[in-house]
Amino acid sequence: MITTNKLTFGYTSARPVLSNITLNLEKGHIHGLLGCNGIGKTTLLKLMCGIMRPQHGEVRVGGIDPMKRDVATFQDLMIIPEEFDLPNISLEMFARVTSPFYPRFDMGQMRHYCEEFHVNPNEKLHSMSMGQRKKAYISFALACNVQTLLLDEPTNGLDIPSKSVFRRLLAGYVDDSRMVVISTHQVADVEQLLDNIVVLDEQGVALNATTAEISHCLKFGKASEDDKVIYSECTLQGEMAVMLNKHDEDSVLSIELLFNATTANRQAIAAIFNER
Amino acid sequence: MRSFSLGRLAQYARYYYVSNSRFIISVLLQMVGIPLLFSVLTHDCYSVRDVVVAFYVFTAFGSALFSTTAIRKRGRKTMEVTIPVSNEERIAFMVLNSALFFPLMSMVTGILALVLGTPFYSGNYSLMQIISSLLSDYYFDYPLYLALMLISSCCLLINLLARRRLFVAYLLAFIGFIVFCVMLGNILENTLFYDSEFNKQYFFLYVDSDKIKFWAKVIYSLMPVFFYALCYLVLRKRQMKW
Repeated sequence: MITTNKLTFGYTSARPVLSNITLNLEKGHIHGLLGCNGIGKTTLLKLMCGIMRPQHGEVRVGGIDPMKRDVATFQDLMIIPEEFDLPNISLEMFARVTSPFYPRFDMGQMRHYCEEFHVNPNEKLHSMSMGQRKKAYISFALACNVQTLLLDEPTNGLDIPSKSVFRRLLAGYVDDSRMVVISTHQVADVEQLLDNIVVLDEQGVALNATTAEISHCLKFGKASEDDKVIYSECTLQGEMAVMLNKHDEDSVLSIELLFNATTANRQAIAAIFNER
Repeated sequence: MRSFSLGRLAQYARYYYVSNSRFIISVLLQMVGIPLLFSVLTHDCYSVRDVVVAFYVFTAFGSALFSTTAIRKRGRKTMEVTIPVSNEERIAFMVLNSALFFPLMSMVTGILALVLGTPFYSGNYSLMQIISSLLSDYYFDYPLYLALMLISSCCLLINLLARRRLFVAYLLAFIGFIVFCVMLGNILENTLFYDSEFNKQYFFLYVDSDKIKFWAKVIYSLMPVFFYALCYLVLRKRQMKW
């Protein structure tokens, strides 16, 4: 479980990127971290894995401050950043020298994931394309079987077939003892995977709710006259709206629409979820 | 789980050297190649020995730089920064890297370069004599080794502290060091080394100089330890430059 309490951080003391972020991310879920550019999603992930120190407030991973670099905590925590450097060795060699740090690492599993992604584990990482390298890194990270996996824009650079492989592998990865946090702008790529949505804005956490809660409270689609519309926008399919779900009707959750509704009408959304 | 384990330290060293193997090999090749080039150009084994010694001194700067690459590369080396090793193991590795591995590699490559350059030397010389002078005057010279440790630990501290511009940080540290020396000189002049009004003798002549020398040596020997301890504290406070 990851908890943050009144977390504040800024690269300069004058301009905080994150202020007063209080979150509680439970195991057994795939959490989607959404927000506009520069709102601090990547920074929040870095704070969660202890490579940056909060200015105020605290972060806890499994009850432990990641800044303390507790070895047991880090054996169960991995981050895949959007941009990364890996050494110029083959993935197989990389896994051989890195796996002793991760007690649940499974080489067979990694080879299987590489096969699924069509990545050659014996090829040097620097001779791979950016997408191939990302797939290699994802294969390695999944094979480490860590309890907390943090992914920053994981689908950037992946081709269309790899995106579906990624979704399939990630869906099979999460169980009651594991959690995944995905920070992304490509919501369409992971829409079906996420079961908890966290929306960040300038004021902090604008929304933190499970998809079940969202579907229970809100309805997505074309509005009729009796619907209470919270937000609407013109799309190719016509006027699409986010409405109050008064009669517990079923609708397909559109994360993009939800995100736009949250950023445009924060108070209304907050009021709906605070009532619960 | 214990915060320090020798096994994990060895695993981390293996990870570091395998991951950076290409870079380390290229540095070692340069450490052999450049003195060899000097031997071809000058045909003088003494100038080759000087280049080898220069490389030995250079490792004090280089080792700190190489040991902190992940921390200096901002967000891109996340894997290396989040690898499950404690701060104690990380700093122990940095110390071993700068105090043992790089100086040792520098010694081996230095001797190798001197030996490989033999066909190019001219004049009367004894290779064994040059190698033994290299060993006794430089490589096994404890005060020089200590000075290198001091430089290395200061460089490590600068690398861990500097945020954006490493060159500016080194420059500031150098200016700071000069200012410190001048201030220390002034303080000593005004206290220990003042002129006596009566016999124009210096005060320090009456002080037990052996005692001063002893304590100076102790302080000098402990200074690298002090700087490495500071590095550990900085590392605990901050894992990454931003």
